[in-house]
Amino acid sequence: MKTRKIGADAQSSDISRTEVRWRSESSQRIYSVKLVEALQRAIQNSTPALSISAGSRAVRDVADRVLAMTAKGRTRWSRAILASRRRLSILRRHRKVKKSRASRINRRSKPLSAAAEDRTRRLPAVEKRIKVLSQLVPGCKGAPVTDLLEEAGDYIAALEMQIRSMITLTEIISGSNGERTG
Amino acid sequence: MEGNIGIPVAMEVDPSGQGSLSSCFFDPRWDNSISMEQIDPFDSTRSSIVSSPVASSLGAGEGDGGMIKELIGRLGVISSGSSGHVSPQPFLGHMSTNNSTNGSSFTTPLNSPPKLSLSTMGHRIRGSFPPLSEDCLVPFATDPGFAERAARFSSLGSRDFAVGLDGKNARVSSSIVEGGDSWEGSSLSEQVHGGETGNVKKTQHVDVSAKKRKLVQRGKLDAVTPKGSEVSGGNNHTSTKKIKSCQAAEKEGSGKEPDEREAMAAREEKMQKHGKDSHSKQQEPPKDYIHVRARRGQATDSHSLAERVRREKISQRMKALQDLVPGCNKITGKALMLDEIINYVQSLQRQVEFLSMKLSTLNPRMDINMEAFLRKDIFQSRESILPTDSSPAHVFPYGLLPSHGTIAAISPVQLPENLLDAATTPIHRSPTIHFPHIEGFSTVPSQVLGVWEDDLQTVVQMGIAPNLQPISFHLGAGSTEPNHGQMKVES
Repeated sequence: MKTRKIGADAQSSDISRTEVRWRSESSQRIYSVKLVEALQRAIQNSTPALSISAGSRAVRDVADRVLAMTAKGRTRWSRAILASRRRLSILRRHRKVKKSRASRINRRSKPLSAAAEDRTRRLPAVEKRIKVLSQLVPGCKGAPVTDLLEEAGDYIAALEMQIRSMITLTEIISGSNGERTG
Repeated sequence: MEGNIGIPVAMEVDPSGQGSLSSCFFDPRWDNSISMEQIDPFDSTRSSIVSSPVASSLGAGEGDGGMIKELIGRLGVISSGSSGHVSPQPFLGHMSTNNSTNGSSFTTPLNSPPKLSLSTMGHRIRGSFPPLSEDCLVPFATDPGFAERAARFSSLGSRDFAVGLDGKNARVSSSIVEGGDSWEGSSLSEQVHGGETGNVKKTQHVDVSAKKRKLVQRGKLDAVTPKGSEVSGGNNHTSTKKIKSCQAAEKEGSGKEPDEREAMAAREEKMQKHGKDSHSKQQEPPKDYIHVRARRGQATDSHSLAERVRREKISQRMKALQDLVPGCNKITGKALMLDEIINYVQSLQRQVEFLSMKLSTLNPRMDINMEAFLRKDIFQSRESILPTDSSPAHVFPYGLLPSHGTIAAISPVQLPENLLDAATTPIHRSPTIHFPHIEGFSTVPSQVLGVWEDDLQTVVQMGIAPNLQPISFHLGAGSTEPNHGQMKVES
C-alpha cells in the first residue's frame, strides 16, 4: 500500500487559495496600482518604442511581471516570468531546447503496469494536448501533469485578473483622455 | 442507486464521544447474546439466512472456523466505547424504510453527526438483510454469524487474516457491495476494532475476497470528509484513501492478497470501503498519509497504486479546471477538456496582448494628473460613465476570446454579460471592474473605438486560430484621431 503525504484537504485548499488570490477585489486593486506605477516607470525609462508592436510587447511584459510579482512566486509560472527577461530571452531559448531534450529523455522512466497503460499519458491525444498546454503556461515545460494542471488553473485565474484590471485601466485612461480632449 | 445494494457504512466516529459507534454495532453484550433487543428481531432472520450458506462452506472450514470464532469473540470484547447505543425503536422503525432508501441515504450520513449516521446506517445495514436472502446478512456484530462467515471465508480464501488493524483504533468499515453477494463482505468489513486489536488482526480481514466479495479491508479508516466526497462522487472507480498510519499492516495485507484480488478482478465492480477510525484520533494523531486502498479487481503492486493515486490527483485537478474554464460543464474526457483549456488560455493571452497594445498606445497620454485620477478611479466603486447606446454588437476584445465564439464563454471576465446588459445595470458589476467599458469607450473619441471595434469584428470573423493571425488594426497615432495607417500586429 502506497502512502502519500498529502494534506487532508489539499485539493480544496488549492482551489480556495486560487480563488481568493485572484478573484478578490483587493488583489486586483493591488495589481492595478502596481501596474500603473510600473507602466509609468517604463514609459519614463525607455525611449519611445518606434513600433507599436515593440511597445505593446513592453507593456505586456510589464503587465506579466507585475502579475508574477503579485503571485509572490509560489507558482512555477510566476517564477518563470520573473526569472526571464527580454535580455535573457536568447539564453532562455537555448536552455529551453536543452531542457526539452532532457525532459523527453527522462520522461518514461517508470514502468507502467498493463492495467494502467491505457490510462496513461501514452495516449497520444492527451499527451499532445498536455504538451501544448505546457508550452502555453510559462515555466511548465517539463513539469509533471499534475503540477501542470495546477499551474494552469492558477495561471488562468491570474490572467483573468490581469485582463480585468487592464480593461479598467484602459477605460480610465481613455476616459480621461476623452475628458481631456473632448 | 438502487442497483448497488451497497451500503456504505462509512461512519464518522468522533473520537471524543462517539467512539461507541463501534459499540453501537458491536456491543460486548452481544458476546453473551444478551439483551441487545435491537438485534433480536434481526437475529431470527439472520440466523436462518446464515445457516444455509454457512452450512455449505463450513464443512471445509471447520477447523479454522473455531479459531475464527474465537477471534471474533475477542473482537466482541474489544469494543471501545460505551456511548451511543442504538435504541431498539429506531432499528425497527427503519427497517421498513431501509430497502427503499438504501442507495440514497448512504452518502448523506457521512456528513451527518456520527451518532445519527451510525444509527441510521446500522438500520440500513440491518434493514437490508431481509431482501438479501441469498447471503447471510449477518451483521458484523453478530458473533455467530461472523464466525461462520469468517469460517467460510477462511475455507475459501485460505487467507491470512492479517488485517492491518491497529490495536488502538476501532474501526467501522463498511463497503458498498453490489447485489446480494455483497452482504457477506460488507458485514465482514464492518469490523469494529476496539482497543487491543492485536488479536483482532486475524479475523476480520476476511474480505478475503473469497469468491463473493472483494472487501479489501485495510487498517484504519479515516475521517469522513475526504471519504464522503469520494463515496458520493466516485462510487465505482475510486480507490479509497485513508489517512492513517496503518501503512505497514496494509502493505503486508496487500502483499499477501494480490492473487486473491486478481481473482476478484472479474467480480463485482463496486466496492467502496469507508471506515472511520473512532479512536485513532485519540490515541494517534492522524498522520498525513493517504492510504490508498486497492480497488477491487486491481493489481496491488506499488506501481499501480501510485499510478492510481496520480490518476486521481490529475482528475481532481481537471475537475477544478473545469470550474475555471467557462463552458466546460458538459465536456467529459480529458482530451476535449484539455482542448478547451488550451483554447481558453490562448484566448486569455491574446486578450492580454491586445490590451497591452491598447495600453501602449494610450500610455503616452498618461501624465501625473492621470496618475492621481487613476488611483482615485481604481478605488472608487462606481464609474460615472453612463450607458449610451453602445450596442452589444460592438464586442470589444471579448469577441476574440472564445474560439468557439460564444460570448457567454467570457463569463469569468464578466464582460459579455455587461455587453449584453449594456443598457441595464452595468455598473452593478464588481465595483473595481469598470464594466461599462463599452460606455466608456463610447465616450472616448468614438472614431478610435469604432475603428477598433470594427476591426475586432473583422478579427472575429477571421476566426480564431491557435496561431494568431495577423490582425489589422487601425491604430491612432494619438488617441484622439483615427489613424489612417494600418498596422499588422502579430503575436
